Amino acid sequence: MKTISKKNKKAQLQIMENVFVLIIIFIILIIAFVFAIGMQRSAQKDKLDELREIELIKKSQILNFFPELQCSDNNNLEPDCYDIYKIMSFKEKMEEDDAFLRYYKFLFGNIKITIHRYDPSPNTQNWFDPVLLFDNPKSEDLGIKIVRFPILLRNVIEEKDYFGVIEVGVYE
Amino acid sequence: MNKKGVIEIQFNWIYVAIVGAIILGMFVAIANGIRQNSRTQLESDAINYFDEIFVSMQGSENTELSIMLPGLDIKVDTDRENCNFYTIENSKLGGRSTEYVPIFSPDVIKKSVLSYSLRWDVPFTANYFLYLSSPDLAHVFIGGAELNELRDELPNHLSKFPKEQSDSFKSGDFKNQNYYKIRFITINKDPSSFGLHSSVKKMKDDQVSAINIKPDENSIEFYQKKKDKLEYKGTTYYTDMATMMAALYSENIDSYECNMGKALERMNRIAAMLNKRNSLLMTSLSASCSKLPYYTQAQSQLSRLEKIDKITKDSFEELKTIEESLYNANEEINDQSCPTIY
Repeated sequence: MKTISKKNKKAQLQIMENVFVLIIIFIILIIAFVFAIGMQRSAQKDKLDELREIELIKKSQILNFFPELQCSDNNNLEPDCYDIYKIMSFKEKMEEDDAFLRYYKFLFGNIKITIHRYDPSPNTQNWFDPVLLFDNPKSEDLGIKIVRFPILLRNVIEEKDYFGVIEVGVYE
Repeated sequence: MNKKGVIEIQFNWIYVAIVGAIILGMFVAIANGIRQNSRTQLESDAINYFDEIFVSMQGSENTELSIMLPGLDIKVDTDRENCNFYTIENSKLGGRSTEYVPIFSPDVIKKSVLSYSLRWDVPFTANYFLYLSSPDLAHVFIGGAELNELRDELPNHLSKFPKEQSDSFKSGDFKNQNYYKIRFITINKDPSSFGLHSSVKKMKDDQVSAINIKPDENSIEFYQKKKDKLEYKGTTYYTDMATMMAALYSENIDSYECNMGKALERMNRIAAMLNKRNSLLMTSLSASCSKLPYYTQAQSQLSRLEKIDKITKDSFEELKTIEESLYNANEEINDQSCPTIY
């Protein structure tokens, strides 16, 4: 009778190949993830710029529906026309009445409104000194975005209209 | 005999199953994250664009506008002390302030925003009112021909019932067909005596309300559903069509009075500014214009207007008197070709 020799063989788990495959897959996924994050950041930056533009347009549009300054002929409000006497009264009220100033600071937010009037005299052909109507800067100076609109300025006493420009600056 | 192979194959499958589940889980988590991110992006865009839209809507007076809401509902604050924010319902994003814009609307707007805007004149333009509603909000008019004028004034894009106004149409005849809110509107009747259809009784109490307009007193009574009946909630006042419509669109009496408070505050400021302007004009008027007594009269009227800051029967009656007086004074000044008060 032959003696059957028992050989002791340990089984080997051949998983190293699989592990390397998985590692490479994860590395590729991570690279794809980082790339996607980078693209999203770029898109977010564009979005932020778009929102700033929208904010600028929104703030400037407030002045389009602002009966406090608009020309009014028996309550017929004229678009893009501003009453010089209303401008003067509005400015004086803000200087003398804190509650009035606070109200409009909250209404307007952090913006600056300047009005330029053109002097039509043939000798000068110049601009009057600009009127700083409203200024509410932020505590940090991060710059300002400005938009300008041509307007009509009306003097109801002299019954004259002047060419002007309204400058709306939104603090960033 | 070599039995190594059997164990190796079983182990491989277990291993593949575990790793496969992990990778699948990862992709599900990423997809979920992207979906939530897209939702947040949509809500953020909606909030920002609505802000801009609401500002520009004010200038489109007497214009009916409709904006689709893509799977979003707008929630508007309608408390007496806090009517200054709107946001997207169930959103983690912060709301937007409406502290200076009187917006008259229900507390939730679904499906699409139906907007309308009117100028509020007292008699000078004191503010722009923005009215918001939803096509899934039913406006049910109970009464006869006296409601026709009001129905004609309201925008056509509102869901109005019945199609033809008739005395024979009763409150109990209105059957709810998937409207999320119902507002009964009547003139000089008592909504607490209204019967409700069974489909309306099943609705939640805050989804059914009524207003009763009393034109002789310039007052509006608000009612809210409680179980099967409409319960009286309070009386407020209006001065003209713009304010009456404001009450009609408002979720409740608190929302109406809070937003009217904003309107009155701006009216006070504009009256103060016009008073100042009036004083400046008086120093520069021509000889013929300075003889007119209307500028001095206007000063006292505008000073009274600066002080009206509450919604009471007396204050709104005073507002109407001042409005008429200023209007007449302005007309007289205009007839004399002098600079007008407003």
